[in-house]
Amino acid sequence: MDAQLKKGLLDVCVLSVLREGESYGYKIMTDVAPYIEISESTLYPILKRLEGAGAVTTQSREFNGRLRKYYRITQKGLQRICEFIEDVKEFERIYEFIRRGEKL
Amino acid sequence: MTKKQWFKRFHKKLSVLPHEEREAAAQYYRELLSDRVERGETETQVLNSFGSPEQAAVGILCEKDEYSKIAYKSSGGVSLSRVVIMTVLFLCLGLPVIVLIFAIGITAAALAVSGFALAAGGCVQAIWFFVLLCMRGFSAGFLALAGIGVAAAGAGLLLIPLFLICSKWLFKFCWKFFMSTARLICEKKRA
Repeated sequence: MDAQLKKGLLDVCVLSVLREGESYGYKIMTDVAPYIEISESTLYPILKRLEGAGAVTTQSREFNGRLRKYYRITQKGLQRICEFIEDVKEFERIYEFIRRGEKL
Repeated sequence: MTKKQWFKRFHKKLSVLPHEEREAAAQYYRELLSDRVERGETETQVLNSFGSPEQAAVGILCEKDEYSKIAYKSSGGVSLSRVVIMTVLFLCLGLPVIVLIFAIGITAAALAVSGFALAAGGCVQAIWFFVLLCMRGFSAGFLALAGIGVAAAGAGLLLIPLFLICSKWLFKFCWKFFMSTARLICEKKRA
């Protein structure tokens, strides 16, 4: 898969996980992993990027005597998912057009 | 590799980043490590899955670089006023710092050599006046000068280890000074 395309997909996958409720690094990774290849070193820049873009907010809370960072989706993040879905619909139309061309 | 060693190398590789960013990245990996250990994995297994600390750090640095490039492009490149300010800063601060680092380095090298020079000079003087004593017969002056030579050689030999230790520390200080200056410049550049 194209690296830029994968990067964009991963962003939306992480946001999609967070849409179900706030989550933390390890859980996000295990939730996303069955659908798209992701590693620890890939997830960190994604979370930083989403935080920087205002798509997620963070909050550190104590868990088992240590601090754990929780991520929560924002309105901007939800809007990004909607934009992605719209983009995919457009892609589908283009995909159908390409497929029709293939059959001819 | 132990957890301590992994994070030490990770921090080192990220030394170009500001302290807060470095700490945030380390905290992310520490959190993942704790979560996975609590779920039954061993520390070694988790650290192995992270890959080398350098690899993990490079991923963060690459992402940071992409942002820097975007920020640089959006800022419209380097303006003339910025070039003037940078030149003035370089002449007023950069040059003295370079001269200072160079001077410390030269001092350290001179100190390392001086102990050997003192010992060698003392030996030569002692040998020379002993030879004169043998050739021209006994003279209190020659004997005294030969004695001074022996004393200088002895002092030189005693001082060699001390001077070597001092020069080693000076070289270390010089290197640390150079690295912290470079880090400071990198941080300002990225900010």
